[in-house]
Amino acid sequence: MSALELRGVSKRLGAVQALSDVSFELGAHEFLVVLGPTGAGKTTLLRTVAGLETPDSGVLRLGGVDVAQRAPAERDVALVFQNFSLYPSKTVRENLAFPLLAPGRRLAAAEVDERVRWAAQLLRIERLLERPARQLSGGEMQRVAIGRAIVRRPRLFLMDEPLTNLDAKLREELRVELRELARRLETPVLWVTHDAAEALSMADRVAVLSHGRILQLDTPRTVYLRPVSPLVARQLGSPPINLIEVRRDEAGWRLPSGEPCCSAAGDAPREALLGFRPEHVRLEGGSSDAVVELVEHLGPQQVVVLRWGGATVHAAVPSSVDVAVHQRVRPTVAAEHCLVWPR
Amino acid sequence: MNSSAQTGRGLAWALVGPTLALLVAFNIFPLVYNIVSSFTNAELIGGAWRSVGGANYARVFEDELFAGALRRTALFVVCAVSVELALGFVLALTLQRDFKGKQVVLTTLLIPMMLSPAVMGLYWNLVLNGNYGVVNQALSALGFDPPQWLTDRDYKFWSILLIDVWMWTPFMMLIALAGLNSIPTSIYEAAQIDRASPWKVFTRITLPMCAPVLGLAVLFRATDALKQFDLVMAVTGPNDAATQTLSTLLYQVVFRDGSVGLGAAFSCVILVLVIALATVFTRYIDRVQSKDVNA
Repeated sequence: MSALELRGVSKRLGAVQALSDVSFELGAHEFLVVLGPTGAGKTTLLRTVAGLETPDSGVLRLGGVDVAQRAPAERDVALVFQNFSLYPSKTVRENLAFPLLAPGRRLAAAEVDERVRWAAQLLRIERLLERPARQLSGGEMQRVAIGRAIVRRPRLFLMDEPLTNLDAKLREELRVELRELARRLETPVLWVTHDAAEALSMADRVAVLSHGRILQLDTPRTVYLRPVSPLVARQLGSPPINLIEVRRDEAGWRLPSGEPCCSAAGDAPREALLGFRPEHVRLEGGSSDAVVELVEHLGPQQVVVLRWGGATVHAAVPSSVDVAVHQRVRPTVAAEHCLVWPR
Repeated sequence: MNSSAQTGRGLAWALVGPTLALLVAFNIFPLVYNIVSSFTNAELIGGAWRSVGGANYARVFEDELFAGALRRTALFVVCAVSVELALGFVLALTLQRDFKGKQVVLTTLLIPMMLSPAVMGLYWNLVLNGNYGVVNQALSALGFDPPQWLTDRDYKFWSILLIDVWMWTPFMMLIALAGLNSIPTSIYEAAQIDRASPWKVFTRITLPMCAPVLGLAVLFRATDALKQFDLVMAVTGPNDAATQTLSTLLYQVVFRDGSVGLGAAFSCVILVLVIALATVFTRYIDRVQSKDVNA
């Protein structure tokens, strides 16, 4: 049985259709990342699952039970907010214990203590337990916020961009740590973010959300390599995918000004939007010229901006490749790396 | 010393000088003058001054008027501030939610605060008047035997308190509302998901997170209530045994009785009390600042 199931969930917020006809299932131990730009409806989705918003229509099942109309407290899910939302005047210990002291839980004091210690150990915040929450750094606050979510062992974690307010180094550290934590707790996670790298590195499956609709839901690898639409393709990858309007003739795909670009299948449409990732562009071996406009060094690789047949193309090549601005190159892309969308 | 340092010093004096002169003329000199006169038999009209040593101070501490005014002022501060705080906070909690006509209600509630206390005193004189006041007419119509709100010894003080509460509850409400609005909604939502009971949300989140700002409001109101003068003047006048506060007593002694020396001694004692309170006040503000209220 899936941990969470949404069937045709829609939600309108004022003039905005925040969610329209959202359907997916979350497996029992699955880590699902919802990826989308600001305003895509990510947070609304989480708030709807948490019960802070009621869907206008659709079915929302937690562990097989329809909970669309139930209060947040009855759902036994934990939500971690982007801005941490700790109780600032309380100590870390009190913050962690707070969810355990809710009416109806009736845990013995020793059990509360035990669970707080367990969570603190897991998140490596034991030495902070007696500190007031307002004195913590961002990373520490987020650990405590996650600790507050795990102490009561909910059936589902909802994470609202929990790493966005942290600095880059800490973000990468916590990414690995939290992925590992979710695996150990064997609790499913619904994680939303606008960071494609986060989505690709953490998720079992990625759901790409745009304007309240799920455009594609698949493994990170498939979403990255076989995006269903240019819109999805554009959301993943840095530098972004090249999308060029091309025409086909017997020689293959031709760039806007007529230069050949790469070979095409015989049954391909005559006019198409051609997509290929910068890392799949090679600078030699092609049959037409391009001019290097800009070279940006990123350490292990360099991004080369080319003017090629009337289009601007990004290529990501190893730093060892010798390339300079104004240099002429003969770029090429292997046909198997090309994504074709009819125009 | 070189010349540029000298110009610098001259400029510094030129900038600070006027303020310093004003300070001496209107703060330091009156203070010293007041302290000096508190040891004399100075009168408002005529008469040469003569030192009387500590006689004025001896009178202050023996005088039942002073003790009474002190007690009454303290009672006034405690009652007014606590009632205003409680009412204001409850009002703020009710008005926190959005509803139709909220702006109108808010504006209406704020009107008393905007008006001059002297005008308010006169207005309430009409409302609470024993014979033709609205309140008593209504009470009579309902078959009650209405009391003389403003002239009965047992009621006057409480009537003034009521007016003060009516005037200043909106202030408390406004500050409390600001405090409530500064609490991020996500904290409430987190508590909702954590299954916290409404009582717990109130005692563990709302109250502690509002406390610093409410504390400041209490201090503001307390210092203000301590100076209570205009309402008493407008409702009963300064020489009423049932309503005399420290400020009105001082006014009575100096300007009506003309006993400048005795009044000066009175005010010196009050000054010491005020300094003590001001110390508490500044300590509290320091503490609030160091705790970073908005964290």
